[in-house]
Amino acid sequence: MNVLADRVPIATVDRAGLVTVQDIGRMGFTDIGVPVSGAWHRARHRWAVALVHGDTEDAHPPYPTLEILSAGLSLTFQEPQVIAIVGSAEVRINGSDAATGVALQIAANSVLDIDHRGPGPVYLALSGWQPERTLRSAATDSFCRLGGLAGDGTPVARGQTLLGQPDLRSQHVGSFLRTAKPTTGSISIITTDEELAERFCEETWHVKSTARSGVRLSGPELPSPQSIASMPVVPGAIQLTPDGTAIVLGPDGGLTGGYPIVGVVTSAHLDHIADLAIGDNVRFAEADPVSEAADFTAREQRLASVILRPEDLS
Amino acid sequence: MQPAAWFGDRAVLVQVDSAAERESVATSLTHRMPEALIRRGMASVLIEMPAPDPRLLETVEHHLEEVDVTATRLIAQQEVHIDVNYNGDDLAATATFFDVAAADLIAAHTSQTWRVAMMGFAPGFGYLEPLGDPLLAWESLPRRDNPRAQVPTGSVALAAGMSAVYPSPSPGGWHLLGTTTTRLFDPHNEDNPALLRPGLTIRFIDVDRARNP
Repeated sequence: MNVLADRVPIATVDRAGLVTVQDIGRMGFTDIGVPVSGAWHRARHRWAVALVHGDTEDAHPPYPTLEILSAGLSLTFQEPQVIAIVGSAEVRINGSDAATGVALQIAANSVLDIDHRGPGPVYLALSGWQPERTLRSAATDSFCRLGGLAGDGTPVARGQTLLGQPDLRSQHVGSFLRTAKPTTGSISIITTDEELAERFCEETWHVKSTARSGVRLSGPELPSPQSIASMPVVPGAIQLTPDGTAIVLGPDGGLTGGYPIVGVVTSAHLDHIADLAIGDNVRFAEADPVSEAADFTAREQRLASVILRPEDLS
Repeated sequence: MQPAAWFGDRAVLVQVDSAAERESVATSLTHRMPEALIRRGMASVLIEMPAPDPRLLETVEHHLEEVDVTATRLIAQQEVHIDVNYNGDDLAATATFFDVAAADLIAAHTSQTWRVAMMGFAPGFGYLEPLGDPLLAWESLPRRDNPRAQVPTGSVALAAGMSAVYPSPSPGGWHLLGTTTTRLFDPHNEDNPALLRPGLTIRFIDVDRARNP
């Protein structure tokens, strides 16, 4: 709290589309009804944080980013910062083109413009930004009215200020972490209802709408399922509603559901859901949970080994 | 109890056949798997890990062998008392639905011991199930035909065999019996943000009755 008391304005918001404060989320409160929330595209958020702060794994409190889902974001900086933008966007600093996927130094009085291109979320990390946290996280959860710059779950708005410290330490983690390629092929799911899942995976699904609460898909009608007793759900769970819509739950999709669940998207493919856009066609394929979990763990270890920690540089 | 099954690659779901079985499984796994987050559904228990774990299903199956689901005696839980002003907009209509006087509905609601079956919907929102014999046919009362766009904080409500208190203003389809000034959720209290926890027992206290015995 002492650190937060010494904060100064580091940047002011001149323009914001659909932009929210996010981090890895509120861990450890789901049993009392508080969702994790947090960055929708975990890998991009993490890369932005790694570019600016070095390693991300043991950060307590977790490092924040701004998640840009549409339009864009413009900031005027009052203090120098190291920043990184990860995702498909056009970036200008004082009117000149700038790169994504690299750590950039930005001077006081500079203007940063980010235009969202997509598909999927774009993340901005700032080296000295220290947002206030509720339940150990700054993540914006609009339904629970938690987090964000205003602390009430509302998105970033013009005129708001980012508080923190002037910070030009560059962690030199390099630029090897490039924007992920858009999804091709099918999305892997762990099935929970064999019969429904078999039919579900035979079909091509069309993206009707997309939001942090969930991505709604339409397809050929499956046998109309009945409501079930309220049960716990997780991000990536695929619900079938009586009108034939399938909903892939996002980070703000709630903790309980009353619709039958076909399956749950694998951890490795969960980020792909964030990159779906209205009009996309998407197919799903069954995967084995044991090998998926093992592969994911191995990939995490490889990734951890390529992110240089600040202490590795000295 | 159904066999445990994967629910994604970082969680396992156990479907149970009774509330007693749910409490046995959830309580036992909470103690045996401190690294996991245990969440209850009405007829299920979810065991969730912070990261994918290829051995999760094996681990849960192993622990479930040790759970005595025939044990109906539950670990004694702290009882939470919630003061209620029974002034809700739906009190009269709900009493009429049960074919009793409003005073009888209040008496039944306060005499019933309730247990937090599960949490969700909103932070600090507990789904309360009647413990022991229901004192009214709570299950016969459906949700309202027209959900309210905004239910005020502290509303004490009833629907589909369960009671609840709204910790924050939100849309809601339950019948409103009254209000409480007890705070159910405080996001700034990191150590103990929610008054309710799964498994706790709850008694509602009629503030008017207490004042005018």
